Amino acid sequence: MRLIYYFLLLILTLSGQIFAGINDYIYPKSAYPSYSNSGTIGLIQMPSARMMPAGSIAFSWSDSDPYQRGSFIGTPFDWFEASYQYTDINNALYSLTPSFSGDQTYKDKSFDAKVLLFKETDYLPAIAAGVRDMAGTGVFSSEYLVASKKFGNIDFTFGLGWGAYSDNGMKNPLTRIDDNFEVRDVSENSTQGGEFNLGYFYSGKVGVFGGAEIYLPNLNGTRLKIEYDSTDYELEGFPYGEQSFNFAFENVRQPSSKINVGFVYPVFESFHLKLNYIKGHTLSFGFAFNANFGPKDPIIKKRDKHKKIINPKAYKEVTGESNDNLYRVSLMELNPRGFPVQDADVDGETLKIVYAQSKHRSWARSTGRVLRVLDDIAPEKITKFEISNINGGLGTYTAKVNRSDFSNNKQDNLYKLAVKNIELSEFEYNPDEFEFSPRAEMPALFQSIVPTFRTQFGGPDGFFFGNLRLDYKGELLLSKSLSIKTAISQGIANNFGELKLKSDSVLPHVRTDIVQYLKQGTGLTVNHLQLDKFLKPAKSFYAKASLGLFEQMFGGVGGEILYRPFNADWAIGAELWKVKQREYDQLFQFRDYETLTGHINFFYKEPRTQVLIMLKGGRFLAEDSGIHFDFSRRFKSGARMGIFFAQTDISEFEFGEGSFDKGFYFFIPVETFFDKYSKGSAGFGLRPLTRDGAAFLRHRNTLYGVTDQAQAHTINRDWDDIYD
Amino acid sequence: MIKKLFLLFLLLLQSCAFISYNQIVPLIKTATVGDDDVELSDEFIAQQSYSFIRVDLGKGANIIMVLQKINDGIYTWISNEGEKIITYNGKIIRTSGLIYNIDIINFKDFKYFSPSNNYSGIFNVMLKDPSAFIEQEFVISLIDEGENLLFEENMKVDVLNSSYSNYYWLDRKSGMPIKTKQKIHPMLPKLRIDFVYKY
Repeated sequence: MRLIYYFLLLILTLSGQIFAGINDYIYPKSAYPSYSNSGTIGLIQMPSARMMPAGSIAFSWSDSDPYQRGSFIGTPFDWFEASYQYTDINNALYSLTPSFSGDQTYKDKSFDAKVLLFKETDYLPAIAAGVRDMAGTGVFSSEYLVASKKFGNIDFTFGLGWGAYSDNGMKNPLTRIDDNFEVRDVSENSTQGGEFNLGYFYSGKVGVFGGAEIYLPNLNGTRLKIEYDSTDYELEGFPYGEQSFNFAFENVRQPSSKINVGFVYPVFESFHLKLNYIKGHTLSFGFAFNANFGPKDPIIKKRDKHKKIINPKAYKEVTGESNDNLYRVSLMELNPRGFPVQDADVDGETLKIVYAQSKHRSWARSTGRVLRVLDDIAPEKITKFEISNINGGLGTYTAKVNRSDFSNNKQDNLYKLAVKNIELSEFEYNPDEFEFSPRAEMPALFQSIVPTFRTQFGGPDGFFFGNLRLDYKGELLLSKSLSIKTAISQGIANNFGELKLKSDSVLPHVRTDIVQYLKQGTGLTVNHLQLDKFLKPAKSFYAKASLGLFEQMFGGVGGEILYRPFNADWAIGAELWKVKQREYDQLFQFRDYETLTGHINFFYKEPRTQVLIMLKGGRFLAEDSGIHFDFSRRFKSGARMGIFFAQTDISEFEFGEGSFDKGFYFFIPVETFFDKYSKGSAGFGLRPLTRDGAAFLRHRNTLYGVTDQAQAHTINRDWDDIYD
Repeated sequence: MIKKLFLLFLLLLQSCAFISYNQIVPLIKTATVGDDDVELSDEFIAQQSYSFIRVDLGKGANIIMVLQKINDGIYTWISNEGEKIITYNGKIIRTSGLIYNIDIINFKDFKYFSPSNNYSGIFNVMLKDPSAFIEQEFVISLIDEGENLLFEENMKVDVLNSSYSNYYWLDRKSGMPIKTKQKIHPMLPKLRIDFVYKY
């Protein structure tokens, strides 16, 4: 009671009258909630109902003996948080075989998820439900229902916990719905790990937890956290050493107090340090880095403005004299701005321009910049523009624009008025229809040298292996629709020598020989060398034929076809490849294994949320058949995050540990970190285990990517960029 | 081994820290950052056609703003990109176009920077981005009468529990400000401004 009294006294002391506006200065760097030691948003050990904004990607790390935990947390929607936890359990070994894993301690991988059920209102709290360790070994298995409500500068949380969160538990209220909620029999539902077991969720006794995150005034955003911890430390991890798990070698120290306290110090709005005192005897610390990639230009504002035409009046006089002058001035002004003119024509009062570009991910922005140039140089008799794009020689889109709509709204950036009458349509490219087609210098070579880093972590050989490399990346355009793309790589430094895990797969080793590829590919390698020919055989049909070394492990011949109607939100395609496995040194030799692989691909993009659903059904590299599911969401910044999983006709035994293929990934636009626009992305993907089942060929220039702008919603979503 | 990951992450943070620094420090979008410090050499001053100020944002970030107009003792300085700093006897009383902006509503209530006055008052300040109203208590005193007059302005903002000092160097003969160091917004570091008059 005394403790509760002091707690309430502390809260009353710290809580203050809040004034709108000035709060931002009294409690700076408080826009985001903070992360718990479990790697999700919460108090110290316990979760809360708070969520990050949609588009947030975070990394959290904590050390709270006997656990060190690294977590990747994605928030694809403001009502859904998903995280991948990687926990080093210090009181257990990775295995009992020193020759296999040395003295490395146990590593546990798991997925957590949280769903916001109810948003906070003036009078009611936010309510969320979550599941911990839902597809792992279950050593942290727990579920919760939690409410959070902010009063002034104090954010209160109160929750119910099941599983490992159920200490001092009471009878499960859900037994009123179904008696099966009474007993939590994990063993009945257990597998060798990797499956989503719904059978015991929210069953067994229920613990009660609660606490507060107190924003301290005028202390640079520092927060004090205090909580009542309902973790049952006799259920979590391996509490009794060898008795709990034969790899464990010592007991976990049990708590002497259920009250935990801690501080969070925001170094920046998006970078938090934390220090906690938990269980009555343990000091824990950690940090969390969060970046919100939801909005446009989330980190660095762009300074890459449109370069104005110096003397538009003089240009208009010259271009008014002849169409040829207009074509040549268009070429002269658009090419240096990164919009090479492919073809041009004047049809009455309409100027038609076909352009290509590889700099802007926003097609509305690239269209707008072409229009700005044309508006400045075209004579007054031109009242309409038709801007068309080609990529790989494939016609993608045409935007028909009234010149007056564009120019009249430019000054005040009234983009909604400017685009109101723009007509978008599929572009059927026929160079013969244009009066002016400048001769392109072919072959054209585009090349760069970039540092890269190959990594492998989480294996029994060691936690982290890396290979620093230098990659030559080149693309040779033989014609508009024929190109060779390559990446030749030279290793600089690595620690792959200690890698020794061999494949135990009963399937053809299409992916599980990764250790051999890493170890024997530390020198010079050809990552890919791919010849592509693009075709557009009919309206909305796109095709590609390819030959070469497609990826690190396979080369061969094949192609794909895609039907992508311009005004639809979906596309469907097929691909077929005859491939042979490459030698481990990744040069030009092949191994014996060869196969025919192919898929029917279906894509659906929901235009409002920009959620892309991709289904890939067919025969995979290891000759198993099934479907690969991929769900991802794109944000205004161009960042994308997604999850995938696959089911094929192989058994859990044949697939091996992990039961089925699954994982998550995110792509962050490189331009986010610079003040100039560029199209590149840095990707990060993680699957808990590399197995052979459900593996598909990775080839460059997929048709769905090459024709991204050949669908209206891709352009429509970014019209606010037209005057950027 | 997780420690190795931690180290790697710290390395990544080095770049992230730079990013955050960029967000915070260059309150002016066109600020020159790093080695391209604008040096106020005689040659540079001679090349300028108009009166200007050099605003030093600290850590090597600085910018030149030229005098746009003078109206009733209020000087408006403008950058290449249209950001504005408005000064009254050298004190920044209003800004626009910066990442964080301010507006001192009652600046004309006080006559300061005269050798004879040591006095106090309260500025009513509208902070912008985010918006908030604060009262700044000030005490101005002349602390040095050397070649130039040096005034110290001790500021106190109770609601933010903060206090700091601003400094103003005035030319003894003309009474014109020639240099100042002042904090204008809680989210910004102290600015140093050098004034160069070309009239």
